[in-house]
Amino acid sequence: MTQRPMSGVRVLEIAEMTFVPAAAGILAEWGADVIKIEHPVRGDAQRALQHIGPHPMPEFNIYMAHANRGKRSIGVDIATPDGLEVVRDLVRSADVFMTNFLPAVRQRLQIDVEDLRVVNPDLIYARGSAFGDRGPNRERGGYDQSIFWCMAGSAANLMKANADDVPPMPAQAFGDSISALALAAGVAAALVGRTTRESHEVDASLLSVGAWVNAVSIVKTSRDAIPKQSGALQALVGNYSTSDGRRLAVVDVGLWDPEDAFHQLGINRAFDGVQDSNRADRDVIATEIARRSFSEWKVLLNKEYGPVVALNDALDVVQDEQFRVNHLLSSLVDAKGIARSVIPSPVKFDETPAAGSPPPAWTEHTFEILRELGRDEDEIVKLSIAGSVS
Amino acid sequence: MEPQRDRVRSGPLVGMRVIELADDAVVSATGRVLADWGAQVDSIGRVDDSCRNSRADRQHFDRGKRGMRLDLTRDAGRAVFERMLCVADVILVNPATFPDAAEVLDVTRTRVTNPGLVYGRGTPLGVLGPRAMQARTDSDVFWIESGNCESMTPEGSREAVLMPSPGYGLAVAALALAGGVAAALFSRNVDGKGSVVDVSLLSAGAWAAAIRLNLALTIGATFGVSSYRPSGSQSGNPLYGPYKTADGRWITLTMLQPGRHWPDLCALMGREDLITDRRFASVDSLLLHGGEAGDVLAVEFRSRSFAEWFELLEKAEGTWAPVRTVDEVAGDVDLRASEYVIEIPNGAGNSEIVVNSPVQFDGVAPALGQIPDPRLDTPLILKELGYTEYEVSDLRARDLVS
Repeated sequence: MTQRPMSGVRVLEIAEMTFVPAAAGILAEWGADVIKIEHPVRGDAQRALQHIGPHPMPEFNIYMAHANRGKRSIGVDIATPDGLEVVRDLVRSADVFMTNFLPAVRQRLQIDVEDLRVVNPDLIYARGSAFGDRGPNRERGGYDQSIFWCMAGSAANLMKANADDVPPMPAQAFGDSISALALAAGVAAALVGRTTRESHEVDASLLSVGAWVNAVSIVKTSRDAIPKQSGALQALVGNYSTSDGRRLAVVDVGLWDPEDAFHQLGINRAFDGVQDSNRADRDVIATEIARRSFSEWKVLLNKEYGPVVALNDALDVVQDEQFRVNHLLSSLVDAKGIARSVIPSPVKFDETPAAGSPPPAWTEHTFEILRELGRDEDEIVKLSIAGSVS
Repeated sequence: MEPQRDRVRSGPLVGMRVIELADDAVVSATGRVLADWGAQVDSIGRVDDSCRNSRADRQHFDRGKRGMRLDLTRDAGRAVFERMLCVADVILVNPATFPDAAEVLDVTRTRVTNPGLVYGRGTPLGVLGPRAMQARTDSDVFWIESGNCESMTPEGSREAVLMPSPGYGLAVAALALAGGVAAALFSRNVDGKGSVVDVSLLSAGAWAAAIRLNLALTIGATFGVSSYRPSGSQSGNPLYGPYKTADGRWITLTMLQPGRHWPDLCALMGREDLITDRRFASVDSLLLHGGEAGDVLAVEFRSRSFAEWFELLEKAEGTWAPVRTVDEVAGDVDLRASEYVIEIPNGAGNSEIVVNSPVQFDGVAPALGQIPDPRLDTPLILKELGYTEYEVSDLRARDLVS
């Protein structure tokens, strides 16, 4: 491979929010020509978001930049006959069509698989949904917080009996971003199979992906319970403050023993394991951890791994050497000419860092794309005046 | 529904031959996805194969593959491996886990015998940098190191919030690597050239947390724990977040258009008075008094059972979902109807749950795959490579394969 793997593939997207746009965005980063068909008046609803959870949105729209880098945007009113004709023209030249619209809406707008298959029999039709396309709830929508996180078991797995709250996802669009990987991967596989067999419809749902990530605990429900750890480490589990007020945690995951925690922290003292001494052992650890700063501990813990972990916050993650060396940041210049860094898709090809492109401005490429379709200036002006494109 | 060792495969990757060196959990999880998509996946373990995952992990991630144990510490074992590489489309490997195979796996070398071979490298922390060789878990890297743990662990809380399920980060990284491998196969089918595809638990964890990390990169600062509403604030959308029912269950509302969904929900609850209540009468006012509206809703939720809320919310315009345990997920009607979750007899008169990978092609679930059994699979694999009956016996007699 000398260029990006999806070079030469054209993808059409009629979708909003994060799940399906991010799937198409991954394919754009992998080299596909992705055309984002947006509502001619309001555009993708994400353009209007004012907040990221509780935080005010910076001038650089984080959601748009996450899900839409490297695409082109065309404004089309697909509910008008002329607008639909533009979509059908685009479908003729496309390899893949991706949507999160619900079945009834797709049918009403005549962009369902049967409608577009007539125009282009080889088209790969990819649906990202909340509940999947084959079950009783196929007509229902939903978000990652509700379907991926709460309904598919992640939230409850983190809750103790009689919990007084339900934990939210660890990051905004966490479930959407993970589900986007599934859909993008499915489209790539369908492209492999397209020449030799029928693999023309691709489905992924927030529910199916939410179940997949919890699969090990789901399959265990019908057989053995999750194996209990030895328990010796339990007495030390908890969060401890560093000298600068940051946190290290002792976690009981894996096959570590209390001695491993002591060893990792450089404590030259045997763990005696007697119940009464737990308090003392905790104090020894707390005192030791409080002797150094978070960044000093990170250097040490990066060498000696074990049950003691540094609770990295978002800035720690993006400043980490391992992170930087492996090109897990992508640089781009936004519409205002300002240099930005963002997290690229998690896949590298031939050790080449992802090429960074900004997300398109709303309807930025309408005229360019219409001209590529062979529409002349008169036609384009007529479509604009009629409101079929913008 | 007995799994077939020589089952008829379906899916877009039928005809693709994948070898996985099974000592890495990301690699093993990726193999499961590719097997679900129709590829023939042969999983190679060490002859001394004592360090594998727990039984449930193995049952889950190894389903649909064939298994083979091969001694890569000896030349004759490496010769078998080399022969496999010549006819493979994909090799899945964590370069750190099979040092014995490093020379055979060298890309410049395999390019000569098999220029189209796709290298899928799954690692904990990437292939570059000072910590590339560390054997870290998904809990460690995908969850904690990528910041997903810190964002769930409030200031002053005693314990770190751990990854929701074993294998959670593996499952995410597997989707990424399977997708990257598929993209590389697509590209290879165009130009004949294989490529190297890298995914790590770190890259997968960062992608899952991307909105949070991108915000940190943009504003140059970090921020508090993840929350439904500004913490300690009395404003925000009351229709976004969890509510507890009379019988102690939870329902999460995700109604993002409060102007539309508040009157709808109030009418369904029989609380029309709340629609015209001055505090909640306009969208701006409702958001400003989001805390109070949330308190009112919390009281309402505690006055009806989970089942009653289900019935009531079925008529609501906005979206919502129950908080469910994995036992309930196993019986979900949509997952069952779509065969993302199936139940199979396990021979002992009981049944077991199988969770399939989360993408389907043409509305068809993958054929149920077998659990690898090196005793049965090894001779099959060797015969496909052209080894005679005699040669297979000889390799076994010398403990090179088993």
